Amino acid sequence: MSAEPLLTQRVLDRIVQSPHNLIVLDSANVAETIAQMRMLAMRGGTSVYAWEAESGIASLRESGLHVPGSRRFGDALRYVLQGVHFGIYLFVDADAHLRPGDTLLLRRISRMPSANGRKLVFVGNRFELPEELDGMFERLAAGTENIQALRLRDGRWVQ
Amino acid sequence: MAGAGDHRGGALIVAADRDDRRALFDALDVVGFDAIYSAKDRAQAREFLAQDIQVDLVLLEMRDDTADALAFCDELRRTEVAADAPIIGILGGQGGPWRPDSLPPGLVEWIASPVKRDDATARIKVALAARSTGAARSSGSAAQGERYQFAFDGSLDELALVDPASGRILDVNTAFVQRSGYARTQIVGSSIDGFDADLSPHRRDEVNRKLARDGSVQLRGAKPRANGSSYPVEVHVRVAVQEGRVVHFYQFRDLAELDRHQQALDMLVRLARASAHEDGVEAALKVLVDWLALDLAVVFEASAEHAGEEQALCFYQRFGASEDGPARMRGAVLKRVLAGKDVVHMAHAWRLSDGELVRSQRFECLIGIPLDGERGDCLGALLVARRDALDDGAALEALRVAARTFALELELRHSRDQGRASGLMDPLTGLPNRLLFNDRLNSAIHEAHRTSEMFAVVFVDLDRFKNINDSLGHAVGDQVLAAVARRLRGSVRASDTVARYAGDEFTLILRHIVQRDDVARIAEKIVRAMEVPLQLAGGLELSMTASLGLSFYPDDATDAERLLKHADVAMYSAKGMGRNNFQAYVAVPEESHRQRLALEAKLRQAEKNGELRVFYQPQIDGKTEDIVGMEALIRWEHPELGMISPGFFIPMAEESGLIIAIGEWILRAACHDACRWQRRFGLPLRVGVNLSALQLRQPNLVQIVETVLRETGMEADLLDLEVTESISMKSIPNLLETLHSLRDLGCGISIDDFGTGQSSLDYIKRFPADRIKIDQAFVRNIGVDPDDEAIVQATISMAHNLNRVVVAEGVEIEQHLEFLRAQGCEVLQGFLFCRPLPAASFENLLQERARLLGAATALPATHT
Repeated sequence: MSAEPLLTQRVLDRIVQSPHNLIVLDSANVAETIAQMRMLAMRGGTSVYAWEAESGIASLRESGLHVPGSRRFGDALRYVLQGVHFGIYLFVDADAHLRPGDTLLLRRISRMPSANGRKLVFVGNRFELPEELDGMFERLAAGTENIQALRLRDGRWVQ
Repeated sequence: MAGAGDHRGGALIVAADRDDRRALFDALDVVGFDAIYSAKDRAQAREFLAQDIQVDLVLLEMRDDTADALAFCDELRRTEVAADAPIIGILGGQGGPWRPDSLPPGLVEWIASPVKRDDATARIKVALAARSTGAARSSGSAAQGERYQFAFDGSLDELALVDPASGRILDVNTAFVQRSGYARTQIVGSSIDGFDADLSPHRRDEVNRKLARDGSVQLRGAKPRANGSSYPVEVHVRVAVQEGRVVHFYQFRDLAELDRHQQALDMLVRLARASAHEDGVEAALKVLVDWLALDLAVVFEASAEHAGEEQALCFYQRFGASEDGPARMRGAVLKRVLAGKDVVHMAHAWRLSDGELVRSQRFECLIGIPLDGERGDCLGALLVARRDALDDGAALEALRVAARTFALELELRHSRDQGRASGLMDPLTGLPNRLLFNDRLNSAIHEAHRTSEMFAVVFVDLDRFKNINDSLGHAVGDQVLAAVARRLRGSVRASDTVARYAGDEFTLILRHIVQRDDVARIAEKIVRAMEVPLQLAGGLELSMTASLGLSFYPDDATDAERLLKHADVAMYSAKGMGRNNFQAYVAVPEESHRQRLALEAKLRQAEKNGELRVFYQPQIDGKTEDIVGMEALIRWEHPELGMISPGFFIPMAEESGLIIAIGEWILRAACHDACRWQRRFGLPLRVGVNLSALQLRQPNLVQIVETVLRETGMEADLLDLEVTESISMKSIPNLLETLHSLRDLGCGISIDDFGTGQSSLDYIKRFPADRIKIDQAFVRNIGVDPDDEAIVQATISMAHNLNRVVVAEGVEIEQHLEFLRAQGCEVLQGFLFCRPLPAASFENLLQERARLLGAATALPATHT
């Protein structure tokens, strides 16, 4: 078993249900988190994509399926912004590619209507977004869960 | 001017303050820039400028370093990327060497720090618009004089332009001409002295001096009309420049109109103040009556359920007030208003209206305005009438404002009523819940006591309902409960109460009973109604029967608790008779006594036959709402009689001494289960087990507990032994020593049912308890009885001062939870969270929790 706690379906659910379109997923082991995301995506059928500088955006469920012209970080953001279908986009090592001019694109993604929502998830170890995005994203942890979020009502656990 | 979606290019922010940068970024985002570069100082800005970017606007913080700031502006001008970009300065609070009223070279506008987003957005837009229209402005100056002519001509105030030297009028607007009554040719060229106000020569000199010194002056006076009359005006005069020459610009405002507006404003303020308290409607109506000199005013509240039964919330009649006044206002007018239509007769109302009161009182003015709710439904009507006609248009508007206020008040009342009701209704069946049932039962007892009437309480328990839940699932169980609720409701009169008491138990109050046979007939009807097979969704057909127990007020009992208990006993008797029937409570007949002895014999066998069950009710942390423990509760599941209520068999067990064996059995079972769950789920759950008075008299109780702990491997500090407060210290020898010994083992001690027994401070001080459990009787009345709220509050406070943890039992609705949490109650228990569950279901609950937290798969499931 990996050293990092298992990424649960609940984290994926929280990403989907998040009121924000931008999410920072803290993970000490990014590769492991992506691998677990892939497992969850394949098992549950959720549309999850991952962006890497070398290959651009690729589907996690169908390996080898790349989005052409999405290798540059800004282009990848525009692709997400212009999409119409639901999808979770994982961005790995984004801090090295994030330029000041990209902040506006991220703000526009954050303002996208939630129907057919696209979720942009930055996976990293204490990844920081620019200050202009304060209040526009949610920070989740890949391993640790928020126990306080569970409440017991009429014999059933609710979140 | 360009729209928000137009291409704006790039913008550069240079500001040290983080909040300023954020506000400016937001403003630029609103304006629609394609790229925004945010630098905290000029060095970082230079880094941006060195890159391949385009800057079309610069927002530059101007600090004390005047020369450096201006040099940086020059530097910007020399760059390729920002050479043409307008620069807006960010002016600090102190200002430094910069002044807000003068722009240094190179800057087009100031934005004040701390930056406000909306202010910055407006200034940026203006600066950009000025830049894009700059050429047009310089070439189009000839047309500028005509640009605002429409404003002068169209103003509702009277305006005049006067030559300062001669005092002759150069031009006036249409309003001036119309109100003065003179022809324009008579006015233009004449002296302003004849129009501006009725001033003495001395006062006029003074006004002129002030005008020359300050550039403006304000005075009051009377303005003449052509017909010789005059009217009060307020005059503003200011020096202005028109087409390069200095003129005096006069503005006349009708004071009477101002007064009306002032009065209307005063009325609105009084209206707002009046509606802010309980008697708001009456007070607000009084304000209207005084202001409009009304002779009659009434606010009706529409009835949502029964059309035509609208009630007069508030009524005022100046002359000949009578009790039937509101009734005399009913008729076609009220009906029309309640249908959502205005009725407005400012004059001649008595000739036009068919209202009896309107005609008899010869009201000239009659106005009816519907009180519309948020959803557009009509909540009521405001009707007002006057003997004199009303010619003030503002009055109608004011009445509309008042109507809106009344509508909001009605809406608020409805919402409050609905909120109150939702906490008292069972959401699944729509029937009153236990809380409301208890309240109604108490009311029925009070009323029956007063009127000497008889009524019946019926306890209905579905036969083998548990099997349905277990085999077909809770969804089907819920459908059955809803169907049963409908059948019960359909079997009784509208005046009777049907409530869902708990789970599959329903309770009824049958009022106004003349003879017992009437109740027997209703009970028979219910039994028959229940037998009819149920058609559920999905084509499922189910056969369901019920057992009913009856008790009568006042014959069987005169208090709620015993009435219910007797109905419960009678219900078990019905179960014992083979289910699917009803039985009335029989006081102490021979037959019942024999049954009791037989049952006692069965209880002796119950433990050996494996008929006893431990149910667990979760206890919740007041802050986190996560599970922290559970109370172990005994249940007896008889193979023929079904589940037997502990309220029935525990007293029997206590009387027969069986409680000692049963008590030890439940202690062992609870420790065993708790220990297993701790190992399986890694949860240190604290389990509470009740100790009866008989157990506490046992000389070897401490040894028994010690043995159970050792045998089950249970950690002593997770065992909580609950002792009821009503137990008498004197009646049990060595009670305190026994409790101290149990604590020495490491066990916790709780005072159970706190508030119902001794409640003496000395008792609490001496009693070696770690926790105090507030009795559910008090908790249930939170939000209902302020006295009980005060008792709960005081108990928690006292317990905390004595370093005792507080556990609240009987938490049934969110309101209880909120109150207890606000008081700092540490542990909560009640139906809001979970009813008592069999061990297997409780384990499922923990399993589900673990699954949701994602820990289940990571933790090995060890079974013993």
